[in-house]
Amino acid sequence: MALALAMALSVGVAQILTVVANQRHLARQRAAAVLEAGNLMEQIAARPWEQTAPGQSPVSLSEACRQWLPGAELKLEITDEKPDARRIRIEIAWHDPLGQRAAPVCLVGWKFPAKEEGR
Amino acid sequence: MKRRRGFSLVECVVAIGLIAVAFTTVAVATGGIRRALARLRADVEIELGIERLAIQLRADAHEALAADLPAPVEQSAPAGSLRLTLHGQRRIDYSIRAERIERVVRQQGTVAHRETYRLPGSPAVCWTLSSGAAAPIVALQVAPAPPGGADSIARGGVEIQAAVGLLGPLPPGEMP
Repeated sequence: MALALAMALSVGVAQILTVVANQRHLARQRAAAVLEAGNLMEQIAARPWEQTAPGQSPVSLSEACRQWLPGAELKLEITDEKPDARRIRIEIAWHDPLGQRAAPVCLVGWKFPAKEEGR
Repeated sequence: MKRRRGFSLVECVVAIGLIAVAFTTVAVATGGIRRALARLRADVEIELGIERLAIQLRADAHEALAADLPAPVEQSAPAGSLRLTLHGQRRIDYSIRAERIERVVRQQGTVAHRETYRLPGSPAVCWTLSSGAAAPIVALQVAPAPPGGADSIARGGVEIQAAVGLLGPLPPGEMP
């Protein structure tokens, strides 16, 4: 009886630890994705206005991000908005530790032309 | 038939042995949970520090007029530092020290504010400054942590990038 209880307890604790480890790994992946999305937004913000036209793809995921996020995909949407603004939407999706598609990280920002760029 | 009273020595030993196994299992499981919690706490602390540093560095860099990487002059900051020059004779220095980054805000040469951010233990932390785009980009690069260290996002290396001078110069006479 005691042995059965001990085994049941061990299995339960092992399952809890596994779930916690998976969730922790997912949280770390999310933190890495948020950091990467921020870096990409900074790169786009630093680009000249003409290099961020809609349809262009001025940035790509870093190697470190690809290693950390298996199956990582970058979705970049740049759309013109009036007056003189561009809406930049960065979405990073990847696979979680169980191999399923994790909820993607999304970052949206707006870029405005510098005064000397004559827009 | 004579009724048996009490337990035999073998029964007692078996019962005590089973209880000991149960106690050992619980103790091992508790120890595992404690270690996992300690690791979790350390990881979260490092990640929060990196997030705070990223937010602060980007805010400072966007506001800066110029950025440069002065040669290291202090023994305590051998990995170098980042210097951001802002409006109104303000200057912000980010210095890499042992497992932390120190941010010092100077107003007209005197220290107005000082704070530190914890970094993961890593063999190499450095600043880079790249130009060529419309605005230069400063980056803090933390090399991947050695195997067996903390299992935080720093394990695969961390890079925080920030564009310098996005806000542009202020019109003459306008205070920041």
